[in-house]
Amino acid sequence: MANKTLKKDQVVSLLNKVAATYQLIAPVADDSVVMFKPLSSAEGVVFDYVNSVLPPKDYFFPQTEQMFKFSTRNNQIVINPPDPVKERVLFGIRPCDVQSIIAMDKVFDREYKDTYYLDKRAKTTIIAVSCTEPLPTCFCTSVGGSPTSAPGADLLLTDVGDVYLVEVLSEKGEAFVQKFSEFFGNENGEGAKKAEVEKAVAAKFVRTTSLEGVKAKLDNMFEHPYWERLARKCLGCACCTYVCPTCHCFDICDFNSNGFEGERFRCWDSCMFADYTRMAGGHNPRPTKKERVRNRFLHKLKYSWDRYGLGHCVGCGRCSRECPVNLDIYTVISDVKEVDANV
Amino acid sequence: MSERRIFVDYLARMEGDGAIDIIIGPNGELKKARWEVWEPPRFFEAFLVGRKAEEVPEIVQRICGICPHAHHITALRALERAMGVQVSEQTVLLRELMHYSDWIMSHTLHVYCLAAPDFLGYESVIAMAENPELLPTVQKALQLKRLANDMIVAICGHEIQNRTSVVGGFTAVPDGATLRALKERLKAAKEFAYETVKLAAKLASQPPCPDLVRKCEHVSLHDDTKYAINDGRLVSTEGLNVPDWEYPVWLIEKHVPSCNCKHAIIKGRDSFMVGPLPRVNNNFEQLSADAKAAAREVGFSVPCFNPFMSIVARAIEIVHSIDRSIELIDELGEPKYEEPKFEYKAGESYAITEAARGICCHGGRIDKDGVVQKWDIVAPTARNVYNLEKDFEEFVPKLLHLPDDKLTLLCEMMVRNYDPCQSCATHSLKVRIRREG
Amino acid sequence: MAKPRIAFFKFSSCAGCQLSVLNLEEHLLDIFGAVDIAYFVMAKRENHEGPYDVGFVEGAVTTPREVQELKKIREECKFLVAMGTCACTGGIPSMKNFAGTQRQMEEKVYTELWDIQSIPAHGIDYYVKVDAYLRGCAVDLGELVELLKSLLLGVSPHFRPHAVCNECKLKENVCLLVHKGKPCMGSVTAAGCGALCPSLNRPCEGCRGPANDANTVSLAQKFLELGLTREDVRRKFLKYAGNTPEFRRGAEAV
Repeated sequence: MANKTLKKDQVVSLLNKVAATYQLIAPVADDSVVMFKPLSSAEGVVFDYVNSVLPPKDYFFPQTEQMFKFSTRNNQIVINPPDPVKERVLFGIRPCDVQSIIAMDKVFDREYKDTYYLDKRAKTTIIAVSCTEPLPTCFCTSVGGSPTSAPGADLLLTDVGDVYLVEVLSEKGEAFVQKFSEFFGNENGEGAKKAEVEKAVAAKFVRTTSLEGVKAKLDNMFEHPYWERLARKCLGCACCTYVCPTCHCFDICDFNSNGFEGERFRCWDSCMFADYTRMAGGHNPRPTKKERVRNRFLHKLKYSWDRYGLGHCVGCGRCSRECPVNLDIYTVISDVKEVDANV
Repeated sequence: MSERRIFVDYLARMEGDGAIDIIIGPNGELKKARWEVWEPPRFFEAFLVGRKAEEVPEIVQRICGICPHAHHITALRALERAMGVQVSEQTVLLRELMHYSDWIMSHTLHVYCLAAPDFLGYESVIAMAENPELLPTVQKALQLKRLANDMIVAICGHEIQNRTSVVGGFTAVPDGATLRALKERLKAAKEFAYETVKLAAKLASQPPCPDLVRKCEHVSLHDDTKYAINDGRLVSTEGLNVPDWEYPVWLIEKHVPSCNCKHAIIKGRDSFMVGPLPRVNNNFEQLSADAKAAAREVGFSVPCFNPFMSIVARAIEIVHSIDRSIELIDELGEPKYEEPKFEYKAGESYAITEAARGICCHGGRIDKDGVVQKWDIVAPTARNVYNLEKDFEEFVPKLLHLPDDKLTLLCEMMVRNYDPCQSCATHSLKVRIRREG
Repeated sequence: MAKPRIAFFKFSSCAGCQLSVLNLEEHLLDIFGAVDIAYFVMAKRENHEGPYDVGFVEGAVTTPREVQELKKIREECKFLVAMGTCACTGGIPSMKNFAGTQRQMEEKVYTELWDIQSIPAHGIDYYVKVDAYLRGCAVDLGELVELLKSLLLGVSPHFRPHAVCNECKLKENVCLLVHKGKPCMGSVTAAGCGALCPSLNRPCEGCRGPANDANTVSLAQKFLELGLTREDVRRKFLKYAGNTPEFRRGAEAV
């Protein structure tokens, strides 16, 4: 599919038109906080942000999600499915977060198909935007990602001056471009400009390491005292898992509104919680913070490779920014390379 | 004839536990008339020493769940005086609105949930709600109470303990649209407030209440320019007129055996009353026009020394509070966030605000690092305890012809007139009537 | 099915948690319809003796008389709820436990001490078994309704023991600790309030007591890094839940 262009001064008109037929989800700023919100128009959409506090995973895997509604009146049990999801366009997502959705796809689309997730996924057109200004905490390039490529997105926009270079990455993207064809022009040398942008951005990364050898080393570090060291500092607040774009644990509960009607919902859970692995009889296979901290880092850097063949850290740097005591996965990667695995 | 004793262990429908104990001798003489407040002391004045200045308003609002905002604002004002902190006009207005919200909540709770069942012959508002004729009134009262709570939540974040108000201002302010929505609801609530005044006047006119008059000194804040709530001079019906920070000189406390709270007198004089009735007596001119009109319509005239008329004063204040809240919302317009700022400075000062149930006094001394060296707290109920006992002494001998259950109920009502809040002072009311001989 | 008999009791406290029941205006008439309020001195004149199905206790235990009353209440109630921070952990009254000896406290407030009978303030589970805890100063109305409803339905309520941080993150608030350098206790304090204070730009003061597995020692270190003094850190941890081992460790860590 050929690349296209989109004039910057046309983006707002495009998004307004999108909002008329789709549910538009785009980044808006409240003070300095950038959040992905469902919008009825392009008003307030921000373009010059680095990333949101919470990843947009909420739109595929919501914080709280209704699974079904039930009622038990007149000796009858009636189960109703949740309200259907509208066709949506998720605009402005960064390449690291696109990569996180690919990682989540592997989790929710296995032997067991998670229809709640997959339905939202199928109904969403993802328009990613390349990063031009990484934060000091960003390290997508260290974990195999790139700020200017987004395999898995439907379209990727890159700021190359007055226009965005539009890379059409899927059939959904192609359909979108055709549907709103009046906004898109043909590429005329912008691809070369993108190469310059790419080079400039890559040079701005402060954090550069690689995952080389990390998994192999972690394979032998299950009982390493290093985890104890991390656990002493960890507050167990679970912020890291809530801001992580690939964390996907959930709990299932019922809400009963009046004894006759209610709903079953699932909501985010976290492996950092003490009761997360506690079983009904009281046994807890991860009894202390050490086991929980270890699990989180091993899950991101080792188990995900074992199970899905890809990493579950996309280098977005959110957990590094939000941890109250600076427990930083980037530092962990660096430390793992340094420590003596045989201690 | 034997001794007659009125004893109410855990007096109901008031905030906390107290006891009434009245013993009447064989010849009808009053041998004992005590309101015993047995609420355990919590030692606020002791553990506040060593705390930081900014913690004081956060902690003292937790003295009382019914008038937390009075304790909170009083402490703020005392601290800001002591440290020389200037707050913005917006902060002053927001604090006033916050306190009026509390008045509406507390007065509505008292009139409908705590006092009205007495006058109407119900054991509680729950029983009142079971009567289909009274149910709509109960529902409206709950709506008004919810409105007041919604105002408090909009300003403070929580119905009971405020989360936003700190030394120097507010950490977050409500937006104009929220306030304007509340204003519309306030306007709609006016009619019910009028009805409340009429209902209160009707209730208080039931015999023998109108005959139970006792002249005593009525003390409140006063401001010539507006109805005093968060500041003003300390005045009384007997001519007291001093700056509020001088209260430790004029209002004296003494510790009473067998009771954990302290009894209050005016320097050189006797017991005194605080609360809505003294406020309306001292500040009638400053009430809103509609509140004055409502008072006149039910034939309420000042000065009034019938403590059973407190319920009417409270209802009049609901009308005033609604009017003033609407004005305040207009004046506030679109509140803007202002970062609360202050610096520690050594100092000592005192302040008073009007809690729903009367003057609430706080003050103390802090050092240059902002550490509290001394803190003084006198809650309104503590001011009223002694005066209430004088009511017993005056009124009970007039009511000896009544059977025990009636007399007991009237004694309880004498207590509820003060809308006592015994967490402030102490709780649990026992009325015990005993005849000797 | 007979309506469950409910009772509300008050010990040393501000009565704000009991008032919270009356602050459920929109649910109040439904609640009165669904349960039999057998004992609620603040709201009713006719109060009945036990036994009760559910007892809600507000307030800390601070006198020998209260200890005796509490034990009687425990015997009378099938299900006993600690309602609010004072009943859960000792709350505000427990501040006196750390401010000096009982005698010193009494001398600062009263002149005649012979009549004062006060003992260190504790939550009610210091003396009796507690079946459920409603945390918070004052209790959260949503949790109160959740508990009442769960009791009526005979299911366990959804109270999650996680830290306030979770709710704060879900609201996408700017972190007061990380980004504004304010000493927020949300990371060690139990959630359920909806991160009320941090959402209003005010650091969490820990009124709901320790979260599950709270690492107060690490947070105390963090507070020192932010420039708090040792005394400041002590004051923070010995306010609402100084009686709990978690907060005590935080106070003693630096």
